[in-house]
Amino acid sequence: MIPDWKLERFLVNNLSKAEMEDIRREELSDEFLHARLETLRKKNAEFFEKHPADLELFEIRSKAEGRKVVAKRYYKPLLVAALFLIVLMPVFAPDILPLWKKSTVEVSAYTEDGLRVKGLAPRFEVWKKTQDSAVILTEKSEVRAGDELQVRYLVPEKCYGMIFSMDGRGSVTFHLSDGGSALSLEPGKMRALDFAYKLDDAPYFEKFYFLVSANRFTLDVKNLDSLLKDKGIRVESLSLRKADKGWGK
Amino acid sequence: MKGPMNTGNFKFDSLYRTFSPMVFRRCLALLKEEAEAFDVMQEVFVRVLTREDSLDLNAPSSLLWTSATRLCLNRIRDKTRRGLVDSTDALLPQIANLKDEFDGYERSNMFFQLFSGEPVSSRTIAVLHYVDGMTLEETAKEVGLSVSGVRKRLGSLQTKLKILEAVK
Repeated sequence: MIPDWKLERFLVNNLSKAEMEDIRREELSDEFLHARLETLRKKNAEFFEKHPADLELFEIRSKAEGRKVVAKRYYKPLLVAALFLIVLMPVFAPDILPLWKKSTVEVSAYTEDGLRVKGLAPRFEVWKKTQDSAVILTEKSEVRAGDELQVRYLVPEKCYGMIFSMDGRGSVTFHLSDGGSALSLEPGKMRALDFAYKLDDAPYFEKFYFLVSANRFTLDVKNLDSLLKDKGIRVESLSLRKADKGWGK
Repeated sequence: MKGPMNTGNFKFDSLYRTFSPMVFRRCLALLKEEAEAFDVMQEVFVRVLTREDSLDLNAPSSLLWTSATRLCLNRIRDKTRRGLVDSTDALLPQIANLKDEFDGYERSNMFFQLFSGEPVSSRTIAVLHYVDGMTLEETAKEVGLSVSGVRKRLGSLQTKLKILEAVK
């Protein structure tokens, strides 16, 4: 028996020529098939009597147009807003831009207890010794000649790094390096350098740098700028102002 | 029949006048309720109009038939989730409630497990082949896949079904 779906295709002339011809021929000799097809033809007529095509076409077009209007009204403005955000955010909100930049070292870190915490970057801290304790220094903290500073750092994974500082005279002091080359650093909890650093009387500032890279690198003081701009090196820095000369006055 | 069918375009009128009774009967056969079938039939044509730039209507019967099948299956699935259809009684509600990669319906019977991980069109393929009685060739033509592709999917389903039956 010919399935219903094929009879439907026959009625709308959507079968191959051979299939159309076969069914036409069979309808002439098969009363049952003829009755099935006649029933469908009557149902077609009844359908349009009950649901006038002009009326239905108007309703379908109204619905379709309504959806297009909604799409234009909401989807396109949303798309424009999204593009606007992506393109212009770095211009108007540059502080957010680094969030999209990939670090040269995978970002994750260790807490003081040595627990791995994902989502943090390699970092370092500079502490100043006080009479009976120590205080952590922040950007542009005030320091003086003779202050004793202790540096600590952590990296999230095995990498190469160095810590050095530059003072107001342009002198560079290495705090963590292998003769000017980056050392292999092991991930783990926050590590303090083996020795403290006593500030001299250089004026204006003391700026600390913590450089980290997945690859070994060497610092040539003459080409410090190019090294700091190297995309393969992550740079963390902390500027301290000298209270006795320069910024501090 | 590819390309724009803007408002007033004769081609869309002709498409509707030729195929709407067929689409309505298709929906009625699956949904069993006239008002609901008419609603879904309208939806099929609304979608043709709203997607006029991307639809190739060289084979309108297949497109409209499979679109109607998919929308009806979605409707049956929604009704089943609301407790309006008993999904264990008949094949169609079971197929309608199969899990595919775009929805997260719970696996509650053999058919959920059977179709787990199958591509989106598995439900439609299953209806065309198991409910409509289309051959592999006809099913493949209907959904725009190769015969081997359809055979592979159905074969995979049959294998899974045997394994599930054996486990039970």
